[in-house]
Amino acid sequence: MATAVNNDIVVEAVGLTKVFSDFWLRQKAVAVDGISFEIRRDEIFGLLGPNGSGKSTTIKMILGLLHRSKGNLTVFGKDPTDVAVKRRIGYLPEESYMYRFLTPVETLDFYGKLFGLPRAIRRSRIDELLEMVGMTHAANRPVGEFSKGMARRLGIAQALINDPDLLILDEPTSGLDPLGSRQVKDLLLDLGRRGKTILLSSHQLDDVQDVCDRMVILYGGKIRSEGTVDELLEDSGRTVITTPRLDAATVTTIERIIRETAHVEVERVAAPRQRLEDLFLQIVERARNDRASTSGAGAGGPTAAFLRGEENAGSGLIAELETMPQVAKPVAPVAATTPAADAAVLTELVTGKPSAPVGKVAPAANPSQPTKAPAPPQDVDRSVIDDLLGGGGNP
Amino acid sequence: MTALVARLHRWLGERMATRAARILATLAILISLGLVTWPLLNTAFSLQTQRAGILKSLEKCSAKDRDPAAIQIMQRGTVTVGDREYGGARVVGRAVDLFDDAGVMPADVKQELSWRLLGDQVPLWMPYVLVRSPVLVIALMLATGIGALAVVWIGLLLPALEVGGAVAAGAAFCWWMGWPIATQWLISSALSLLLFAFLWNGARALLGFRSGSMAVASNTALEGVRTLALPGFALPIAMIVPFLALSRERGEALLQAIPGFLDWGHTASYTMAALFVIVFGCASTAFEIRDRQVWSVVTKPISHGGWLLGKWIGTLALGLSLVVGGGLLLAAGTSYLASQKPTDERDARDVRDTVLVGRVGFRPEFETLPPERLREIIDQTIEGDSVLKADIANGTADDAQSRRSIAVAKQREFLDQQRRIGPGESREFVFHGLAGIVAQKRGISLRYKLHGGGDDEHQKFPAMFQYTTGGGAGMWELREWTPGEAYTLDIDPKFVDEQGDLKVRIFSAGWDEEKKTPVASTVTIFVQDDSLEVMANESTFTGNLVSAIVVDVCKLAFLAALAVAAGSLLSFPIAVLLTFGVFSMATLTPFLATSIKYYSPDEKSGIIIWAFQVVVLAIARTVEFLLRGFAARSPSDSLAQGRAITWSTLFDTVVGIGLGWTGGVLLIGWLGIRRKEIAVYSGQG
Repeated sequence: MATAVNNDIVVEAVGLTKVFSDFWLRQKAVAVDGISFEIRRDEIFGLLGPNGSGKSTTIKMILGLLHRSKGNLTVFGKDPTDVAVKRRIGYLPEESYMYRFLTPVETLDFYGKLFGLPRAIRRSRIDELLEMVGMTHAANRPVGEFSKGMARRLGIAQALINDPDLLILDEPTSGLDPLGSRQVKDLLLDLGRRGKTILLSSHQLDDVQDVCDRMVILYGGKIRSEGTVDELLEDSGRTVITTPRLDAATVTTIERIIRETAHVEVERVAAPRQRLEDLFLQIVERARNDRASTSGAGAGGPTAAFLRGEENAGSGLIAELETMPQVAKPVAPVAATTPAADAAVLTELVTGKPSAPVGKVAPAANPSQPTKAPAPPQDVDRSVIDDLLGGGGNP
Repeated sequence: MTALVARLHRWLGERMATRAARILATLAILISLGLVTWPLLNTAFSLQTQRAGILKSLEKCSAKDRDPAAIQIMQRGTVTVGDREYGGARVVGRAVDLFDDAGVMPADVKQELSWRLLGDQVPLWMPYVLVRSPVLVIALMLATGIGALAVVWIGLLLPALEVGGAVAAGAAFCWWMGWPIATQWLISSALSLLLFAFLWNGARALLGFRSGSMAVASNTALEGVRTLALPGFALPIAMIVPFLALSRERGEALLQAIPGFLDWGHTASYTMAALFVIVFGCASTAFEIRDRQVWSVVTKPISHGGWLLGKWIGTLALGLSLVVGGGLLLAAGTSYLASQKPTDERDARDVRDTVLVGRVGFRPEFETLPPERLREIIDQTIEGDSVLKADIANGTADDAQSRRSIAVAKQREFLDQQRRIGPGESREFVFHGLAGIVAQKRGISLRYKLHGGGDDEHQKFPAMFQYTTGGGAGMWELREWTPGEAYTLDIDPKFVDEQGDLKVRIFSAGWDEEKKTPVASTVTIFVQDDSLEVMANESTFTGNLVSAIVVDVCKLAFLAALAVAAGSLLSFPIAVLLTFGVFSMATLTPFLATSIKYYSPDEKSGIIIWAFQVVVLAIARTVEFLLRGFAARSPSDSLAQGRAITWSTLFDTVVGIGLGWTGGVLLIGWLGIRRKEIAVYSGQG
């Protein structure tokens, strides 16, 4: 156990090990093998790895569903089985294990009651969450009838009912269509900006790349790599230059300049292809504009007001303050969205490098529209551009 | 076809969800209620008026004064009011019994006779109970109206109409076929199901508190209803109990019909509730863990123990609704049967005084042989039996075993001597501890169920009862009895002496009216353990029924705790097997106790078999010791026999089973699940 509680560390694992045994106590598998990591407040942390690498086991230990065999593990400075800790956690399991006999409204109401939320707050949050995940039209249908994707959306809603400080998502986009995946990623970025800590486990590489600040890559229960997304993904041996479409002569000229200046050959020149995800989203958007009917999940709405921190007005808040159990809660600084984003843009313009901590996308102008995922940040060799422009490099 | 029905159902559902449809339905309900209430009320009050006329005619009814009304009853069995004549030949046969020794008709007899005379005037469609209490018509219609309006305005109109329509169609068919009992059965079963539906909603409303365990409990209760587990177990109760009430054979005495109904009805409803609690408790917990919904629950601010507690409360709440529903059906069925025509006045009185009450019983004390005397008899027996003596000497027979067998036989023989009354003989039975009852001026009666003459239930024998204590010296009563049938004899409390003892001498003899002398009976009377009992009123039937429900709930609480604890630690089939095994053994402990009493390991069968038998006996004794309290608190017999479930029994049950056993099992379950890993290994390897 950590002797000194650091408020900036939400989850701390030291030498964490989980060994599964059979009935005769013979060792069956070492699912997690002495891993150490920290998840800090206000970051989106990714657990990446193939099937069976120990991601879900690690998450289950953080949630108290499994007990560690060796090592130390604290969540908000306490043992993971502490009930008070769970009040601050939202959890989406690897599959949405829902009660088939309940409707979405009843499901969310049930989980809201488990958190001791007052009736008025439960009602407003349920409405907002169902709208956010595009389930309003199916609010009173039994969950047993739902497709996997619809159940997943409901699973995400239940994980957010308590406006958690630590959100733990195990394969959150599993079973979701590209639209749903995009909404989930946008939601995570929104929540990250609000100072929520998010632990994301996935083998969908795009998910992690698009939203995570830091990640560990697991294999065979051990950490194989760890760092920020930029640190792990930067390819220092390559340079990519993106311009409007150029004619063949210009391309030839550029190739010649590069050959003469940098003494390297251009490896590949091609017109960039549109991402399939973007194409898909455009088609769905067109269909919606044409009011095409569908019985599946609807378009997700904006991030629920209470998740944007806008619930704190009116009687709901008063009721919550009066009735919620008091839990020591570190004050999470809300990210100053606009100034931070502006600063990042300025830095990028001046230095040609994106500022690493603001690696999240700014909120879309219209939250109901799917936003484009951020391109992977890439370092730009400024001197090459200057050469191309005939300049002499940075002053 | 199915799709068409589904579309029709959906279309109707949409239409009926509109405000206009609800208003129309409300109007239809109010008009229908008015159309039904008016003829019922009109008939009930008309019959009440006629009864008042009958009572007025009976006002001065005295055979001694040669009152015309009394003579008319004696001769024709009728009473004339205005130009209408009530009664007939069936009253003539019992007319003499209507007058006391002074030739006057007692007030309570007049009341009962007026109902009997009115019987022929009651239309077939008019429930007898509504004739007796016209105010019930208003109460019934109010309850029906409120229930129907609730159904309409909470959006259950379509299901109610569909179920109601199906029942109405079935009932109409039965009526058309000339099966009135089947008609009544269908309607009462449907109403019983409606009662259960209200109770389920009530149970859920009680669980509406905003706490983790109560949320789990409420969810569990909803699961029981939505998965049709609860309706599946409620349906048999809703069908069996009304069937038992309606299946009284023509001419069957109420004294037999009502106890039979209470015994079978209570056993059926309690057994179904117990089976439900066992199966559902195990399934709800075991499947929630297997299907992993519990992951999303225990990662919320609720401990594993809190989740287990919620499961137990939810399961128990549903079991409670079954037991309470069954209890209400028993009360309704008993009221219905009690409102039926008795075979005669004695039948009506016996039911009222011995079944529809809660009485405590005092049994006579019998002597047993003192140990010294018994040892002496055993020695004499062995000494007198040269074969047995030789067998013991050469080891063929076991000395201790032989002595035990002789002891049992001699004690039984000694008891039989005290319980046997030969033809023309008499024997005195002493009942102790009646001082308190007499001091409280509570009525007492002697319940007797004698055996003899090959227990032929078609024979009748005479017996004389004489009181030899208090002011009873010299008082005796002559009765006829049929072997194996229970009777009741009212006893004047003054026959109890100052020490609270009552002595009753029973003669196996009759009375020769001509010679004015006792005459020996032809049969030897055998008195068994439960043959004689002095009973005193302790509570009402309603109080007894409520006590029975409390006892049932305590037992269900234990079973529910066992089921959820087993379901949370074991797989579903193993958990059900374990819980059902405990339930069966607990229910059968009286039989187990009897088996143990007569079982002893056979030392001559070899050491291995002997050791095995010793282990089996030890297990059986342990199980019997641990679970004997469960079967000992079975309220079915008490209800059927009108025996009071006393406060001390109730207290013992609540503290022992309700708190002790249940708490112990929940504690074991909590210890088991507290550190249990709820999740499983989902990786490879």
